Amino acid sequence: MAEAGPRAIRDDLFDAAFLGRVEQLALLARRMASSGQRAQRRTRKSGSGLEFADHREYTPGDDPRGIDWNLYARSERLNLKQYEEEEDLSVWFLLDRSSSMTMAPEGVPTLFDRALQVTAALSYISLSNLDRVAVVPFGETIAPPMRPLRGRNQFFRILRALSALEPGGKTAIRGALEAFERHQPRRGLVLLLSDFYDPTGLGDGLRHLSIRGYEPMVLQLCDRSLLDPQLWGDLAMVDVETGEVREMTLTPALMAKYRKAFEAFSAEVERAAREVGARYLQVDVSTPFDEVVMKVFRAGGFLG
Amino acid sequence: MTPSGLYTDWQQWLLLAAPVLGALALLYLLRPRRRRVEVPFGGLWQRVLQESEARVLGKQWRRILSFVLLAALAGLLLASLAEPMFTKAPVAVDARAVPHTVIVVDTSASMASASGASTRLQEAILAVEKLVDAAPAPARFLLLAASSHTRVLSGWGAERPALKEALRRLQPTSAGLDLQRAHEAAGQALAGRAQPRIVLVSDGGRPQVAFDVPAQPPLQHVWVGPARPAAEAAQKRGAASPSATAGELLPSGLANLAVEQVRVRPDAGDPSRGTLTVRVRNDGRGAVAAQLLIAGSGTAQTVGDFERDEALRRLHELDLPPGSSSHDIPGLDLSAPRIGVRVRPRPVSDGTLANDVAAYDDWGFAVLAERKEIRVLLVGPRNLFLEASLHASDRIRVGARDGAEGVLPASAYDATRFSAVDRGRHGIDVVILNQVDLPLPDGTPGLVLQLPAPATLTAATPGAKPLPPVQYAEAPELAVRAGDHPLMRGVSFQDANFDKVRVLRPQPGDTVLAIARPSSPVMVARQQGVRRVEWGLDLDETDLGGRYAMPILVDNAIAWLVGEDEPLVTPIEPGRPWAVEAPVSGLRWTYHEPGQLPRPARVSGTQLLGASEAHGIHVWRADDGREVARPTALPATEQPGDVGARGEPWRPLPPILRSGERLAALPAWALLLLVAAAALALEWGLYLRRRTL
Repeated sequence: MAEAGPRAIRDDLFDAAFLGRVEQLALLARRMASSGQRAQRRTRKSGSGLEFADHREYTPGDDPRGIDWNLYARSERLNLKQYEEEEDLSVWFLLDRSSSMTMAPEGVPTLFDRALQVTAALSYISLSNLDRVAVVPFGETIAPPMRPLRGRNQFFRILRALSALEPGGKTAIRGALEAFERHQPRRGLVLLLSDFYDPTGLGDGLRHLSIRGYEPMVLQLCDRSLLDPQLWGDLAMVDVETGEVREMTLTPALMAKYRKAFEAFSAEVERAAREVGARYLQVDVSTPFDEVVMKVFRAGGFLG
Repeated sequence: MTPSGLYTDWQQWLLLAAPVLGALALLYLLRPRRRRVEVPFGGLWQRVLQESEARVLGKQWRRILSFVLLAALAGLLLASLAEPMFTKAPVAVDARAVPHTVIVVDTSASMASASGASTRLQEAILAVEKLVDAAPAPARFLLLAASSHTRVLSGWGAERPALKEALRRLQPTSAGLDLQRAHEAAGQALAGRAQPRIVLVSDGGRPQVAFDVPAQPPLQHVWVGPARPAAEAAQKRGAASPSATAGELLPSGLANLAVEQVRVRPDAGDPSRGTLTVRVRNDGRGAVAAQLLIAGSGTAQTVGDFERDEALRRLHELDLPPGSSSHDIPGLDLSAPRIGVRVRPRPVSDGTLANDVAAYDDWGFAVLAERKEIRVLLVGPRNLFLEASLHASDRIRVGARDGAEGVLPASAYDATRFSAVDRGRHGIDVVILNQVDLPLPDGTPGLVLQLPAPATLTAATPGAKPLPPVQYAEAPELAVRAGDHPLMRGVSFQDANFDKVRVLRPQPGDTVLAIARPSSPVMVARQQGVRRVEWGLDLDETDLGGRYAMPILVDNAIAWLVGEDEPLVTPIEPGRPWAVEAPVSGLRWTYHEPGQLPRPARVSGTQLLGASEAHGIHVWRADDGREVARPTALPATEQPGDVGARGEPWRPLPPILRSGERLAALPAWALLLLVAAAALALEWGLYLRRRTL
C-alpha cells in the first residue's frame, strides 16, 4: 500500500473519544507489561546488545574486540562474547478489505469499521512500544506493503492510511499472504484481521507465512447478528463478493443448520491457526474495540 | 405414418400445444419472485443446502418427484411429436389377434337433420373419430357409407389419418338406408378376419328391410341425433331397441316441415293452368305458420335452380297443423313443365327464419307430363257433340297421318289397316267406335260407344248357348262410381239427362266408372292388355253432349287410352334403381343428374336405367332433342322425427375397448394436459407451503 497522503481522518471512527480510549489502552498495556511482561521484544539474534548471552569459538575474521580475555586466561582458548541484540519489532496489520467485511445490519458497525478501529488502537500501542507498524490491506491481491512506521508521532499517518481504505472486492487469503511474503518485508508479527470468508480456506496461507518466519496471529471478525436473521420463506441468497445466487427456502431448521455450519467454519479457522502455532481470537462486531484490544493482550504474544 | 399424416398431426398437436405452452409461459412470467438477500459468504449457505437436502427424506422425495414430473412432461412432449397413439406393443403385432372392425356410417337423408349446431352426420363423424382414437393401435378398420347402397370409403387399414380424412369427405344423401345391404357388405368384408365387429353409426332412421342381426359378426350401435338418449337409456336397461313415434324426439320448440307430395291437375279446357295440390308434413308438436314457395321452370333440376328469382311463381302463407295436411293452390301457371315447391316456417318480423330441423325435405318436385299430339280415328255415324269434344282439345287430331279420313263410316273401316304395328305410318293412337259393332285394330286402344241392342237376340251358331239378353235402363240417373279414376276426373252427370242407357257387363279386372242407379254399370274401363273404354251411351239419347262434362269425358278417355292419364310423370325415389321408359328406342341418351355433369346414360331397349341419390329432377336427353324428365320423391322412411323401432333386437355388446385399455383410450392431449395440470398444481401447492413457513 502506498503511504497515505494528506487525507482526512475519519471522524466517525477515530474521534476524540476513540483517541482518549486508545491512550488509556496504551497506559494499561504498559502496566500489564511492567507487571510481568516485557515491554520490548528481543530477537534471538546475537549482536551488540548489552546483555551477555553466550560464548563461541573465535574464528579468523571475527572482531578481536569481542574476545573474552578472562576466559582465555583460564582456558587458553579464544572465545568471543555473545550478546543478545535488541531489535525493533515489526507489526504487520493485514486488514481484509473485501466486500464481505462491509455486511452489517442497520445500526451495527461493519466488520471493516471494527477492524479499522482495532488496527488503529493496536497500532498506537505498538508505536508507543517503539515497534515498527505497517497496515497492509488485502483482498484478492495485495499492494506493496507500506514502509513500517515507528514512533508515536506516526500514529496519525496510520489513521490517515486507515481512513483512506475503501472496502470492496473478493477475498483470496492465500494469494494475498503469498504476495505479502514475496515483497520480503521484515519478519515480525502478522496480525490477520478478517472474516476469513474464503472458499479456498486459511490453512495454506498461514502455513506459508509461518514457514517464512513470520509470527501470525489470527483475529476472526464476525457478526453474530447475521446468524439469526428475521428472514423466512423463499429467498435468493446473493453472495456479496461473487454475485452467485442460491435459491432456497429459509426455515428455522435451515437457520439452525446454518449456525452450526458457521461454528464449524470458525473451528476450521481456529484449527488452521493452531496448526501453525498462531494465536486465534474470534471477535464479534458488537464487541467494543477496546475489549477486543484487551482480548488480544490476554491472548498473549502481542506485546513483547 | 405417411408424410401427409405427419403434417396433419403436427398441425393438430401444435394447435394443442400452443395454448398449453402459452399458459405455462404466462404462469412462469407471473410466478412470485424470490426476495434477494445479500449474504457475506454464499459458500457457507451452499454447504448448508447440500447437507440439508441430501439428508432430508422429504426433500429428496420432492426432488425425485419434480424430476419425474419434468421427465414425464418432456417425454409426453417428445412423444407427441410422433404419432401420439398409445399402444402396448406397436411392433410385432400378431395379425391373428388384430381386431377387425367395419364401421358403417349412415349417410341417409335423415342424417342431414340438425337439432343443434351440427348435423347428425357430423355427430356421427365425431363419434367414429372417438371410437377410432380409443381403439388399440393395431386395430384395423374398414369404413362404409350406407344409404340406399353401400360404398367403401376407406379400405382395411390401421392408419387413422387416412380414415379420418375419408370420414370428413362424407356427405348426407337424399336416399333411404338399406341396412340389409350394408350389413351384408360388412359381413363379406369381415369374412375370415380375426375379432370381427360391425359398428353402425346411425340416427336410427328406419331401415327399409327389417332383419334379425346374425350372431356373427357382432353388431354394435352408436346412436346419434335425438334418439341417442333413449337408445343409451335402453342400453343401460338392457332393453330392446328404443322406440319413439315421429315427432316425439324432436326437441321442444323445434319444427320440421317437409313436402311429402306434389300433384298437379290441369284445368279442363285450359291445360296451361291447373290446381297444385301439395301435401306437407309438420313434424313438430304444434301448429306452425309456414310459407309455400312455388317455382316453375323449363330447365331447373336442383334446388338452386328453382331458387332463382325468375323461377318463383307463387308464394302462399298457411298454418300447418301437426302431421300431414294437403293444400290446393288453384290457378297455377303450368306453362313451365318442371315445378318445385318449398315449404318453410314463415319468417318472423326481423326476417329470420324459425328453426327447421331438416332442410333436405323442404323441397318437393313435379314434372308435367309431355302433352303430345294424339291422332284419333272416329268410326260410325257422325255426331256433332262428339266431334266438337275432340276438337276442343288442342292436342287431339282427328284423322290419320297418311291422309286417311278422320271420320269413317262403318263400311269404310278396315281394322287391319290401323293396327298398332303400322302406327308409324298412319299414326292413329286411338279409335273411337260410335254405334258400330266392329273390332278395334290390333294393339290399338279404343273408346266404344255401344250400339242399341237388336230387337231379338239369336245364338250365333246352332246349338250354342244363347247370348244373354242386352239390358237397358230407362231414364236412368247416372252416378260417378270411380271418382278418383283419371277417366272420371272433373266429371259430373248432375245436369245431364239420359233417356236410355245400355247396361254393360264388365269383365274381371274392369273398372266400373259410372252406374245407372242403383248399380248398373254404364261406363267401364279395361286396363288389362290394350286399354279399352266402353260407354253404354247413345249420344242421340242424351243431352250429355251439350254439357260441360262431355269434352272432359272425351279428353280424359283419350288421354287415358294413350297412357297419359296422369298429368304428372311418376316420381322416382333417390337411391333406388329405376328404369324409365324412353319414348323411342335406338337413340343415344345423355343422363343429366341434378348437380352433376352430364354423362352417357345406361340404356336397355327402351329403358333408361340408373340410380342416383340426388334429390331434384333427373333428365335424360337424346341426341335428337327428345327429353325425359323425372322428379324425385324422398323416401318416407327418412323423416327426421321418425327414429322409431328398427325391427332388430338390441344386443348389448361389450365395448370395443378391453378393460386393460381404458387408460390408453384417453386422448393423448388430454393426458398431457392432465399431467401438466397436476404438475402445476403440485408445484403451486409446494410454493404455497413454502410461503407459509
